[in-house]
Amino acid sequence: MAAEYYRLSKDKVAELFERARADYDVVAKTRDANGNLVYGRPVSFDDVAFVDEQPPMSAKAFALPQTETLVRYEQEGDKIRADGSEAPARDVLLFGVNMCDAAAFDIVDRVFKWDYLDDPYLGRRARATQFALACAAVQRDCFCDRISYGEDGVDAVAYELEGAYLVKVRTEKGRALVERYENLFAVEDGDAERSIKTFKEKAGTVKKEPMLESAKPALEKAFEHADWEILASTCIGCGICTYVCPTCHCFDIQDEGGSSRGRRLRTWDHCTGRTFTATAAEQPRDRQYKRYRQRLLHKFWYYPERFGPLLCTGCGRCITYCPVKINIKELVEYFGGLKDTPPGGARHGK
Amino acid sequence: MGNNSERLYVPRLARVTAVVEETPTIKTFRLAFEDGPRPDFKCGQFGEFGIFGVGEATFCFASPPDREYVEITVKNVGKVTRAFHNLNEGDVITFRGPYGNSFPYDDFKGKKLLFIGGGIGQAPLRGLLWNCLENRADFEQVDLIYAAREECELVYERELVEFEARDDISVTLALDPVCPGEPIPGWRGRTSFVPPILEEERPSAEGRVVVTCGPPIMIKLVAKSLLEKLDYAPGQVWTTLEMKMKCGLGKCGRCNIGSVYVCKDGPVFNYEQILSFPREF
Repeated sequence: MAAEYYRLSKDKVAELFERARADYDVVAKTRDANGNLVYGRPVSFDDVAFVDEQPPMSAKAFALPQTETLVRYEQEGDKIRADGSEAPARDVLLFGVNMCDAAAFDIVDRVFKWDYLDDPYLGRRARATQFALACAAVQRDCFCDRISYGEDGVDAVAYELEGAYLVKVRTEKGRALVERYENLFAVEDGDAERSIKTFKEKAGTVKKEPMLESAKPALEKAFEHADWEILASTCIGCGICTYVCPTCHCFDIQDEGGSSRGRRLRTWDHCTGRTFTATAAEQPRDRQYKRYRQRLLHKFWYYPERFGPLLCTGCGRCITYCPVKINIKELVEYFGGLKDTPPGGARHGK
Repeated sequence: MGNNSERLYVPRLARVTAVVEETPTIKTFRLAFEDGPRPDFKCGQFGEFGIFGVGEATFCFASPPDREYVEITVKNVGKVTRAFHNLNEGDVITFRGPYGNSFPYDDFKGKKLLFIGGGIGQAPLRGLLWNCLENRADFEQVDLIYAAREECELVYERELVEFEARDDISVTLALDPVCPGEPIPGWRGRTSFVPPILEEERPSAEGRVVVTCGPPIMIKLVAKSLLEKLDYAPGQVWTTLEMKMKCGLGKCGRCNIGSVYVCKDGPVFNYEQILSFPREF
């Protein structure tokens, strides 16, 4: 559908939130008991955190939970019953989600819907509406200005203007949201795209060349580059980059329970860990730098080759939370031929 | 494409109807599907076979697709395979599949086929080999080289004896040389790794297709011999790749080699394809 533009007065946001809670399972940024920012379920509108700051954990768990039940099984006499997981009971509204997290759904959807349709994932995706809030300032370590996704994956996005939000509606789900509470939204009559451009310029989120997509041709020639071993060997394989990543989606399947009753679970897994590809017979990625290389190349070469977009929204979490300060953006720039010198501080081997 | 099945991860259930102890560490399980017709698979495809409470593992179909039964052959090497080895007749296992591509049987027609198996690697070749023998007129020649580390590690021994008695397939059996050059007492076959056999026999590349599966090191050295010393084109050498898999559906990201999903684009590849992958393994 063609984009539509509305204006949402700031004094209407609380009413929107409260009314939406009657119709949706509303998820928004809020603080947990320890004061940490999370995507959670605020008790009231006052608990919603209207901040640009990203929660350490992205919103991906609302499509791909950290752990979910794929199958429940139970022995009945000499028969075993096996049932699938239950579809979500309510529509979910991701209210004020960061653009980088909303955009990630559109990217990850491609793997869950190519060929076989992944029913647990797609069932949740079908019930979810992404109502994003555009960042008014660049966040720590983020580099979304270097990746060419725009508003893909976002059903509606709010840009904060003086006294009101300019709401851009991109999809039928976004339109359904606005139509449901139409008395809260006024049709925007100004030059909306121009306002958005001004907003992004002020926020510093305008795209900047060279885009990281352009690293791919050089990455394709850099698989055997000697510097992988030097620059990626610091990786300790903890996997935090993959857990906080909105686009990392690799998973494990494990059973929990006994032979007569239990669950078959899907859990997040990560390619930087030693056991990811290890079989009883061999370990194909036998060095840590090879496992890190897999993660980087999957995001910037393999995935785009197969599915189109980069498997990255530039949220920067993997940089922020890496305990050994590996900077994926700088490594992509280096191995992707966009910069001649390796990331600062790292000793260059030859 | 949209290969929609309502519940992708909910397995079918199958009952073990026979267990054959192939070697001290390898067993073949015959399975019957009680919840409907048995899966309709092609040679080279695989499934996710599991035991509730233990988990799933990836096994290729080891029986020909035109049999009433389904068989898998399992080596006891890890958690799931150990649980399989504890199964008895009547026990229930879980199954998802069939998944993956298959051997291009029709493209092989009219050709000379050379099967090269190593150890448990004979399992993915077995169905195809039987199919070829049953339609022997479709092929100019069928040869088998089958190698194992020790005599007790040869699987399908009863079938090997049957093959050896037939005149429409030549069979070369080989065991790893313990002491180079020294025969193993009582052993009817050769004592050699596979590449020296190839380089001695020099099966001509003309009109021939090689289908090999075995330990990764054997596959690599066999391919090296064929491509570098016997002038085979990479497209004439076929194998089935073993990568750790979980979903089998092109989702979980585990079996990726470059942009290839071994579970979807494979597991059957020829060397022309394999040489185009990032040199990861």
